[in-house]
Amino acid sequence: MKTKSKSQFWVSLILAALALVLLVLGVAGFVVRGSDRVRGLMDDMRAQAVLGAAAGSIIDQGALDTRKAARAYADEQKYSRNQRAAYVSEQEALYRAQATQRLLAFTEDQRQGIAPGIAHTDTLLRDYGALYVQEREAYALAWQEEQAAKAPQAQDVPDVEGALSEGGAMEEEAVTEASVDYSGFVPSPELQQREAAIRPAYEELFDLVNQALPDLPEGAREDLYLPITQTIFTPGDSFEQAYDRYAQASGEDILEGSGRFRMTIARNSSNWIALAIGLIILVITIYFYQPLVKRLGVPRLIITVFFLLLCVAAALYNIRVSGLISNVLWRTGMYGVLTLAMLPGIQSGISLNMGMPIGIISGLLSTLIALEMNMTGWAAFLFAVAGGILLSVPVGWLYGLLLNRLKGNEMTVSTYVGFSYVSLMSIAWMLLPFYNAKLTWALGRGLRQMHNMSGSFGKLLDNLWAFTIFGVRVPTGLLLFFLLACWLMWLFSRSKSGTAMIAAGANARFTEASGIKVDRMRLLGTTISTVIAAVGIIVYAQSFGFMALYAGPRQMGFVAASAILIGGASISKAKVFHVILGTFLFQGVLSLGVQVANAAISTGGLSEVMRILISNGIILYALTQSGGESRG
Amino acid sequence: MADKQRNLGEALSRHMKDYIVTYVFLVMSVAFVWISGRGLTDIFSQLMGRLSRNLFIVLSLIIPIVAGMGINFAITIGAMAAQVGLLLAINWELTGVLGLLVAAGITVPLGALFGFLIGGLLNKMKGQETIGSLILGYFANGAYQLLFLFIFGKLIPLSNRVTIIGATGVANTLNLTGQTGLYMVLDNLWMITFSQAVYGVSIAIALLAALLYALKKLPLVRLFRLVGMAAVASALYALPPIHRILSTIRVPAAIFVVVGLLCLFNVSIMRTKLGQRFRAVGQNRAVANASGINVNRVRVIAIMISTVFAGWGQLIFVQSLGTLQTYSAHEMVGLYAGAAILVGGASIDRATNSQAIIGCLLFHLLFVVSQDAGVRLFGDPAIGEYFRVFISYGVIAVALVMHTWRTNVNRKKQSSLAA
Repeated sequence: MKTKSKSQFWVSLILAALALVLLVLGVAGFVVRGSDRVRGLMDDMRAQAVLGAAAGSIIDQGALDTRKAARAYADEQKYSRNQRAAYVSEQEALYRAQATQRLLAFTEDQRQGIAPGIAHTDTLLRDYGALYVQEREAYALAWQEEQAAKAPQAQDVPDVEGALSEGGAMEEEAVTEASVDYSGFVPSPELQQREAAIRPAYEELFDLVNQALPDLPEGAREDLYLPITQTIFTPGDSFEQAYDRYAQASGEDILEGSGRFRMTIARNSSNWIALAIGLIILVITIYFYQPLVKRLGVPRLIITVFFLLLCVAAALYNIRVSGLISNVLWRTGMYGVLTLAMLPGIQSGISLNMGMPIGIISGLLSTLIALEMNMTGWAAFLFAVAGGILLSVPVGWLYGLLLNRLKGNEMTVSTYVGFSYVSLMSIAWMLLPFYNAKLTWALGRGLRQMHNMSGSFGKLLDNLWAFTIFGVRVPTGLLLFFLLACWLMWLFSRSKSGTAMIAAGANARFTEASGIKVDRMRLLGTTISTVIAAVGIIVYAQSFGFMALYAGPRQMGFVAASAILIGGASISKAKVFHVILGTFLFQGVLSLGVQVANAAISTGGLSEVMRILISNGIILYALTQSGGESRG
Repeated sequence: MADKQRNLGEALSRHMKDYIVTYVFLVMSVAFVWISGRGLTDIFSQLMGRLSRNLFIVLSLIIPIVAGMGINFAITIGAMAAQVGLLLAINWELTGVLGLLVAAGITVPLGALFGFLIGGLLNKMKGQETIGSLILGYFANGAYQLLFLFIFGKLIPLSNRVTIIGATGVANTLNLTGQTGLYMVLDNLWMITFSQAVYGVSIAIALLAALLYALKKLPLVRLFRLVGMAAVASALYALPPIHRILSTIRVPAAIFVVVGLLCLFNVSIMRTKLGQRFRAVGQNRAVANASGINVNRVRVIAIMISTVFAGWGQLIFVQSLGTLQTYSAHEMVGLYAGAAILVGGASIDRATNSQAIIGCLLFHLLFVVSQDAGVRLFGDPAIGEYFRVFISYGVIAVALVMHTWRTNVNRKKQSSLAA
C-alpha cells in the first residue's frame, strides 16, 4: 500500500482550514441573525422594500407615460417601425434610470416613519399566515387521501409513449406525484376574520407610505395591497427568503460598510455551513484516500462521495428534503427486486446475468395475460407473480443449460442472447393473440408500447400500509416486499443447496472434487435469477405505474448489474447486503442528481447522461477488476 | 480415390461448419427478395448505396479480430470522433472535398487518442474484450452527450450553423446538403455506370495479371484463372436479362477506390513485421509474450488503427446519407458492422477482407428487403423492422455461442489429451 504523500497532507490541511473558516462564518452568521443590529437592519431593509414596492408602481406608471409620449414623438418625426421601437425603448430605459435614482433615495427618517405601520401589519399577517398554512396542509392531506382512494380509475396517461423507445427505464421523472390541486380550498371563518383584520392596519400603513411618496398614482391603494403585504410577510418565510425578497425590492441598496458585511454573513450562513460540510467530506476523502480506496474501490468511493456531495448541493439549493427521501425510498423499492435477481447469478458463478431480460419478459407476459383477462387488484398481482414464476422456470432452465456450455464467457454471450431475445419478443408482441382493446393498438396490430397499470394493480404495493411522516411518504408494502425477497434469498444462501451453490460459484474445481455437481448448481442459480427477474419487473411495473414492452426491458440488466456492483459486489462475489446498499446508493444518486441538476441548470437530459456514465462506468470497472491474467 | 473423396467430404463438412451462418443468410436473403416482390433493379441500386456507405466501417473491424481482441464494438467511439470532426468542419463553414478532408484530418488524432485509451482499458480485461468494448461504447455515448449537450455551445462557442438559438447544445440534426456543401462529396467525385465498373474492373484485373505474369510473379495457371474469371464476369453481365437489371445502377467509384485501398492496407500490413505481431498475439498471447513481443502495445496499436478507420468510415457513411443525427448516428454502428462481418463467415478470432465484403453484401441485402417482406408476410412493416434488429443481435449471439462452445470443447479435448 502506498503511504500518504506530502501534497495529500497539505491539500487536505488547506481544505480543512477553509472548511473551518466557512464553518466559523456560518455559525457566526446564525449568531449574528439574533443580534439587534441585524434585526434593525432587516427592519430597515423591509421598510425600504415596502417603499420600493410603492415607488415601483409610480415608476411603472411613469414608464408607460414615457412610452406613449415617445411613440407620439416618433410618429411625428415619421420614424420607421424599427427606429420607433428603438427610440421608445431607449426613452423608457432613460426614464427608468432617472426615476429610480430620484424615487428610491429614501431617507432614514422616511423609513423610520413607516416602521410602526409595518410592524403592526406584520403581526396581523403572521397571525393570519400561521393559520393559513395549517389549513392548507390539512386540505392537502385530505386531497391526497381522496386521490389515492380513487386512483385506480382515473389518471391520464402521461405522454411517455415513444419517449421510452431506447434507454427505457429512467423516465420516472415524467410521472412523479401530481401537485395538489387547491381549487377546492375554502378558508374557515376564523381565517377569514384574521384576513379582514389586516385591512385597517394596511390602510394606516398606506397612508404613511403616501406621506413619503406623495405622487402615488390613482388606485394605488388597491393595487399595492398584494405587493406590500407580500413584501412584509409570506407564509413559511425563512431568513434567507425574506432577505432575498427585500433585496429584490431594492432593499439591499441601503446597506453599506459593516452593515452590508454583517448582512452578507447572516444571509449566507446556512450555505456556508453546507459548503463546509462538503469540504469536510472532501478532506476526509483526500486524507484517508488510500484506506478508503482499498476498502471501497475507486468507483464506489467516487459514487459515495458524489452522493454525499449531492446531499450538500440539495441543501444549498433549498430542495425539500422530505420529497427527496420519499423519492429515494420509492425508487429503491421499485428497483430492489430487479437488482436482487443479479445475486444468485453471481453466487452460482455465471457472473452478471446480463440475460436478465429473459426473465423479465416472462413477467411481462404473465402480467399481460392478467390484463387481457381484465383482472384487477390483488388477484391480478398474485396471478401475475405466480404466472411469471411458472413461465420463467422452464425458460431459465433452458437458458442455464446454454450457459453451462459457455463457461468463461457468460457475460458477453448472455448480453447478446438477452438482446436477441428482446428483439425476438418484439416480433412476438406484434403477433401474439391478445385481443383486449386496452392492450392493443387501436389501429394496426400488436400490443401497445406502454401499458398503464393504474387500471389493474398499479401502486398496489406502494399504497399498502403507506404512511407519511415528516412529509416523507414511506411505501411500506413495497419496501416490505423487497426486504422479504432479500430475506428469503438470505435464508436460501444458508440452506444446504444454497451453500453448495455459493461454493460452486466461488471455486468450481474444488466443489466438483467434493462431490457437488457444479453444472447443476449453476443451473439452479440461473433459474432462480430468472425467476426473481420475472417477479422484479412486476413489482417495478406496479410501482412505476407503467409497463414497457418492446425495447423496454433491454437495458434493465445493465441497471440491475450496476446497482449491485455499486453496492460492493464483484462479478464473482455478492451478498444480500450489496443488493440493498447498491440499489439505495444508485437510485439515490440518480434521484438526487435529477433534482440538483434541475435546480442548478434548467436544461434536462443531464440526469440521463449521468445514468449512462455511472451505470456503464461501474460495469467497466468491475470488468477490469476481474481481468484475469494481467500480462501476456 | 476413396481417400480423396473422404478428404473432400471432410473439407466440405468443415467448410459448411465454418460458413453455416453465411449459407443460412444466403437462403434467407434469396427467400426474402422473392417474398418482398420488389424489382431487382430497385433492390440492387439500394444495395449499392448501402454497400458503399458501410463497407469501410466493416473492414475496419478486421485488424482487432486478427489481433485476438474479438469484435471491436468500441468502433462507435471512432464514429464519435468523426462526428466531432464533421461538426467542426460545418462550424467553420468548410465545404466540399476540403471540408471532408478537414473532418477526416481531425478524426485522426482524436481517433488515435481514443483508440489508445480504449486499448489500455481493454488490456485490463483480456478475454472479455467483446463485452468490454460494447459497454465502453455505451459509456462513451454518455460522455459524447455531455460534450455535445453541455460543453459545446456553452463552454466552447459554436456558430449558429450547428446550434439552435434558445436550445442547449448542438442541434439534433445537422443537414449536410445545400449550403453546407458536404452531401455526397465523395460519391460525386467519380460516379460511373455499372457497365463501366464491370468492364473496367475486368480489364484492370486481366491487365494486372498479365503484368505480374510478365514479371514472373504469377504462375501461368493463376493467370488463366484470373483472366478467365474476369472474362466470365463480363460475359455474364453482358447477358441481356442481367444487363437489363444492372445497367442503370450507378457506382460511386471514388468510395470503392478508398475501400479498395483499405483492403490493400489490411492485406499488406499482415506482410509487415507489425502484421506478424498482430497474428502472433491473436493466436496465443503467452507464446507471443515469451517470444519477446510487447503484447499490450501491439493490442493498443490494433485498436488505434481500427478506431481511426471506423471514424473515416463514419464520415463516408454520413456524407453519403446527407444528414447527421447528432445524438444517435453512432449508436448502431458497432452492432451493424459486427453483425455484417459475422454474416460473411468471420468469427471472433478470424476475419478476412472477402468475409467482410460478402457479409456486408448479404446483411444489407436482407436489410433492404426485410420491411417489404414483413408487409407481405404479416401486413406490417414494423415486423420487418424488428426482424432486422433481431437478426443483427441474433447473428452476434450465435457467433459468440459457437465460438465459446468450440473453444470450450477444444480445451476439454486438450486437457483430456494431456491427461
